[in-house]
Amino acid sequence: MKTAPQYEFTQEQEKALHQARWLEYVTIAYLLSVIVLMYFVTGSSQAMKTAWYEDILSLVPPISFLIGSWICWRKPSNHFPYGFHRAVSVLYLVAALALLGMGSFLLIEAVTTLFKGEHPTIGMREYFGIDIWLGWWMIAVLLWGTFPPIFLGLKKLKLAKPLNDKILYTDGKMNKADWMTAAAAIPGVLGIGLGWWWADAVAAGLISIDILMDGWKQSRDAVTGLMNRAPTAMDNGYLDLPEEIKAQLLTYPWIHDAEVRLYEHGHLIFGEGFIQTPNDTPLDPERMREAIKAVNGMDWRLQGFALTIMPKA
Amino acid sequence: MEAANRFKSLRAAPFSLLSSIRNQAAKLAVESGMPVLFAFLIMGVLTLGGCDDYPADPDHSLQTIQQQKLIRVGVIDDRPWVYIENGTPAGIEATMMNAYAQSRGLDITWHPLSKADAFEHLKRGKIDVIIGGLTNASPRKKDAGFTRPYLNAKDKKDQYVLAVPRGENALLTDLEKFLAQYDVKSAFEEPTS
Repeated sequence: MKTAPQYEFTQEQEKALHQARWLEYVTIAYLLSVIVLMYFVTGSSQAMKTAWYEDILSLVPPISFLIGSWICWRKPSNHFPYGFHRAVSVLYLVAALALLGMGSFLLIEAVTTLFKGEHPTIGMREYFGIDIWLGWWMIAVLLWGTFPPIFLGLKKLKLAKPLNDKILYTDGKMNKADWMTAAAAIPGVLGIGLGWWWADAVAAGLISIDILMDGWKQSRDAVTGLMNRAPTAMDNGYLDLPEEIKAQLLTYPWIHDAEVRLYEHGHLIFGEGFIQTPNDTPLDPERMREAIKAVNGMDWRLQGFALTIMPKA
Repeated sequence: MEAANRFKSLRAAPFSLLSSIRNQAAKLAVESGMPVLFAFLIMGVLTLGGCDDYPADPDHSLQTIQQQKLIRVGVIDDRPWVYIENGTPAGIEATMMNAYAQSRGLDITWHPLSKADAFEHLKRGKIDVIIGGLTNASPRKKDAGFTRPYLNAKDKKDQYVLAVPRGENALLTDLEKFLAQYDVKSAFEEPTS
């Protein structure tokens, strides 16, 4: 069986992948620290509980990336002739659905808490010999959960570009926006302290809407990503690559007309070009090989581009 | 084709509008140094943390108690924690409440009640505190705000607590501050008062 060619990383990409993996391990360790700390101080605050679930869910993209970075660059085989790049897309979909489900669940909980008028009870708590209102401990933990992700996120966005890795990109974007969770939860906790019992449920509602929207956006992205759609850039704008390839093909005098279709396959792009020769003159294999090589050189993501004769309409 | 596109954009509209607002806000916020500003704001509020009336009660329980110099205590009979002797409550938790009232300069009215009535009265704001051998294992935990245990133990059913109305965090923390300094053993030794 003709398998797709195995892509070889450039040195820059190799370095980026290495750094990205390391960064994701750091992220996981950091998130675990936040999750454990939050577990100890959550008390009966709905906003804290919601933020806690969000932090647990934000473990999924780093884990997906790490699993994906092992699986998806494996050599294409007889049973997987196009390679394993979509393994990541599948993981991505699962993660997105988890966000969607958890977001809905937490939103419903926040709304019912609000309508039932449940007053969150938060008392004193002693850690390290400091005996203060538990709300202060919550805020301290939320602050630890706020600022490190901004920097992790920025670094991930930078590394995602050379690798064209959507999970890394989305993860970076989520990290960057993560401080907003704390920005919602902290006023919620402070509100409880002021005697505004509803502040907690409102903050929980805002955070769950945020989770829900992330889930919706990512689910849509993941589903369309699994549908052989035309290749996109990481911000989901469609590439002009098909038109550029067509223009490239039309520069050859032995090609009279050409059409190109491409599809995205994880990090990579596959596809084929259909050509028509002037007056149906026979094709020269050497010329075709040259054209294919030229096209494959147009974008590193382009692998195994095939050239064939346009069928008669 | 155009109709289909319009339909698609209509369907996606509420979500994409929301997320574009959020993205714009996030971008603006990050660019204008909002997280840093936010950090300073938090620091500012943290320094306010020393204030006496923080946390506050949504229903002003502690404030009312302080103004009227009176605390209404619901009593569930449960020897040796609380029991009525010669018409007055006695036992470890009764002694404890007396000490609390004394330290805060309050009078006490005792309300002997059944367990169900006590929690109902607490919910309706007819009493401020329930005493009666309650523990963290109590199924009533959801109906009230429990203090942290004044007698701590590994097992939840040995963690003894007092109950205040849900979310009345000023009263709760005031009681807890008292309990942290209170020597429970003295209540054990003291005979009925």
